[in-house]
Amino acid sequence: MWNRTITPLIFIFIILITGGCMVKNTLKKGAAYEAAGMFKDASELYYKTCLKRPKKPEVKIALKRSGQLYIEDQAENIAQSFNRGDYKATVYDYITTRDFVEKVVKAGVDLKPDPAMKRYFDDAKENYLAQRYEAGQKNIGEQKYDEAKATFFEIFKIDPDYKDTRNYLKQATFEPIYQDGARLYGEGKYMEAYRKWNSIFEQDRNYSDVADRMKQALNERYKQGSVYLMNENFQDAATALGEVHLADPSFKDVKLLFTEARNEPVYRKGNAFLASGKCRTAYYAFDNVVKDAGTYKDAAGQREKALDCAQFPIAVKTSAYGGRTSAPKQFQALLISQLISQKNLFLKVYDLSVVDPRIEQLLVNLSGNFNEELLRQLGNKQNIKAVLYIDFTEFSRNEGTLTKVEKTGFERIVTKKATGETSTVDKQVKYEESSKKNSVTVTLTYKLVSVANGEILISDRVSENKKDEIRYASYFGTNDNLYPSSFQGGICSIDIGNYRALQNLVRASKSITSVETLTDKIFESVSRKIAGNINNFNPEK
Amino acid sequence: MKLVFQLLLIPVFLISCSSSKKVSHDDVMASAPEWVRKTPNDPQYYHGIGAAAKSAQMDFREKARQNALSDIAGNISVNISSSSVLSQFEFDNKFSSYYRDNIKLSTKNYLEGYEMVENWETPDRYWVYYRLSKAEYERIKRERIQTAISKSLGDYREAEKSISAGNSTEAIYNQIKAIEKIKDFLGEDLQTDIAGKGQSYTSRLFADLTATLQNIRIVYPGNSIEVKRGQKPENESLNAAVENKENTHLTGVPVIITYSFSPGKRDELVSDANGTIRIKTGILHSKRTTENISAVVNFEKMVRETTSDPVVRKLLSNIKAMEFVLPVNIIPSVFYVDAGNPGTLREIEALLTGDGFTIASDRAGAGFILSLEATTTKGSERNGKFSAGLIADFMVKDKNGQMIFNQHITDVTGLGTSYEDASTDAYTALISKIRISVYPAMYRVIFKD
Repeated sequence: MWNRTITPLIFIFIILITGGCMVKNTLKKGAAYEAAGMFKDASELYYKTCLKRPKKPEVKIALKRSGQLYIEDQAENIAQSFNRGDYKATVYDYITTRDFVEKVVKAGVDLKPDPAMKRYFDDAKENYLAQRYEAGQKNIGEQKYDEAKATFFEIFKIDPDYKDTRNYLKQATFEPIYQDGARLYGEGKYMEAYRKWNSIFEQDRNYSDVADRMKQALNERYKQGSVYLMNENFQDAATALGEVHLADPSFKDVKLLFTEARNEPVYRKGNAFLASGKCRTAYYAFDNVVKDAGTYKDAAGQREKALDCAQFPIAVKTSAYGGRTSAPKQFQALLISQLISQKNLFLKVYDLSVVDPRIEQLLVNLSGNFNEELLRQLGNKQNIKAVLYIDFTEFSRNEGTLTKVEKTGFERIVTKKATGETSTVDKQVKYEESSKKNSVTVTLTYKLVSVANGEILISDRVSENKKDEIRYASYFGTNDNLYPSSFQGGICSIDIGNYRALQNLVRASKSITSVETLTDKIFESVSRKIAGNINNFNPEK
Repeated sequence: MKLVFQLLLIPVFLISCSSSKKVSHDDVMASAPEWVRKTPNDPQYYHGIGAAAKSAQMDFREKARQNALSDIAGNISVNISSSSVLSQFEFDNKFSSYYRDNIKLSTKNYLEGYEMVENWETPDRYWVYYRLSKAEYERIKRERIQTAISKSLGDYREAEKSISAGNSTEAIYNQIKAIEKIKDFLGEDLQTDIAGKGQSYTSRLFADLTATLQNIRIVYPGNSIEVKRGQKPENESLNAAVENKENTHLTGVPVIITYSFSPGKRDELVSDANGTIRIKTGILHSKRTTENISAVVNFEKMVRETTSDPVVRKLLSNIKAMEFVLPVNIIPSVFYVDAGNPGTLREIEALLTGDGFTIASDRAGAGFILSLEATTTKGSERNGKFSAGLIADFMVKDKNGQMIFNQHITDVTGLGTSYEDASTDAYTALISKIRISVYPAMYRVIFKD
């Protein structure tokens, strides 16, 4: 308790001490800088500490003192650089000093800069900017835009309103892009040209004739796309018109043409598939067109036609196993349910025993062969396309018996005396170990057989096994004190080493999954697998 | 164990942060002499107190002395006489402030006759007290003025001689030197005797310098020149004479040439032994019909070469040399355009005239023949839309029939509701292509490369 209360207090105390320590260290270090005439370094140090510890007047005073000395040094430097005609140094030294003075205001310190600095700066600025401006103009005239941009940007930073700097900066920035656009346009790369000009337009809509040029570029690309479309080069047409559409969806009739370029080849393929009897593929083609373009031509009607033609009704038949029919019927019901849940547009599922009980009885002979005549009848009379036949080859369900074995153990009793000593007593006891095992195995083959010619469209064998077992110990005393025993040399003694293993048995579950549940799980898994395979089956492939 | 460690940390922090000195600033300053706490006010003297932190890295005594002298210099007031030359150039009070700033700087350098009165120090700081007798200061100042005028008069007389010899260039340099010699006293009304007549010396120097400078003329070979646009001038350079009003050619005069048609272009020339400067106009691309070339004596350079004193430089920057302007008449190139399609012809002619070129009505009167040969071909037809392709050759020949630009154009397309419409649209596209890329390329090739 003492420890929990005191420890945080000690740390708070240390933090307070360290805070004060930081101030003292800063003052010590700053004084060393000042003594060496390094007033800038001293000021920066004080400034940073001032921001962190704004309530420490000693740091603020130190900042005011060294800051003032620093700007006085700077004033001297500025006067010297101005007097030797180094206007650039004058300008930049002044800006540095001005920024410093403005910065320390944030720390609550007002410095008093020498007004002469500003006079030197104004004079130097006039000279320096005039030189730079002239150099920038020359660069523009020689089309050295990068240099011009750097020059005018420098002027802009010093005095954004200096003469026509803003316009020159704009020209130096945009003109190379504008000219690049013209070059690309000349090379027939209209969209690249468009993008160049657009990058200018986004920053300045009125720059030269950039807006007009963007329209020209789009129009040329639109015409390219239109000609591709006229020549039925749908891919290139879609690319070109797509680019124009992306840039300006309302450009002329680009939306319409782009739709046509995208969908016409797909629509045409759909018709070709439908004509060749590949109705499912045709359906997908028309469906893509409808999804993309909605009412493109008669794609919706064609899609219905294709769906009608692509229907694939199947009848399911499951064989009995060892004279038993209930489990196969249960499996068939589950399988039909799984097939329906696939929501396959083309698949219609029927129970053969419902469709035609007679054929169901006679369709497969004892050798497992299909009667082709009956298959054809199913096709002709019931419009069934295939029969899904399930044949169980193994179905075993083993429910084990609960085995109980009495075992000798020890119950350890520990007692604590008033003196603080402990005593242990191990008492020999009896406990019971029980075990049981349930298992189910299913093996079946399934075939999808065409009614038209008995062709086996899909065939596979599926086998699955599931089991569950239990093993636990029962004791009527205090479970935690129960130890196993070992028997060596005719002596039964406590087995400390296997205590944990026995405790696990004591805590083990006493319930076991029934064979019915195991069967349900296997049926569920196998029927899902078969339904998935049937769903993926495409009769057109 | 942890607790013991934490408890041990406390003294460590306390020791590391404690200061070894506990003597207060007020205690130390209580024993300081009076002059440390308050500047003496004896009106007979200028007083200067300087202090510096003691440091192994610098000579703190020298630093304190410099500070004390700066203090004295700061106390000496700088008066600007209303009849001084400085007052003549005073527009917005900036100039006198500027002059005062500089004079205070130089005063410190020229301080003489000061004496150290006392010093005092603490373990970490050093103070020193200097003073300068006001009477002594005034005496020394009078001596300095006399010496300065005497030296300046030497240069003034040299300048007079140069003027008599017709050497205005040398005269200007000497006049600037004469001004520089009295730079520390430009705020005073310096009276002197020249040619037996008492007058304001500084004003006289400035008036003479202005007159000498404005006596220089830059004379062009004619009243104007004619230059063909986009073409190299017939003569590589244009010779102008630098002379004075007495027509004496002047040697070594720096001249700045600027060109209204090339913003930012600036040539700094110097007149040669014959007093001539050679101006190179280069190729003109201006779309205007007239431009000009300006020449002005680079007086700023002459000042810069003669004096490094900022006050003199700034003062002399008020004296402006005369600008001599030569009009440049631009003769546009003449094009004859041969383009079959009337719409295209009009557009090309508009491009050319927009750039200041002239269109000739026949080939014989043109410097350049621009011909455009274009043909359209029928393309495809679908859903009532027709396309047409266009190929063209855009060529420019000079008057001798020499091909100087040629571009074959292939990727032009037209669309329309008929082949005729599509063909018309292809010509419109061709015009855009010419305007955006072909014409600028032609312009670069013929007139810039």
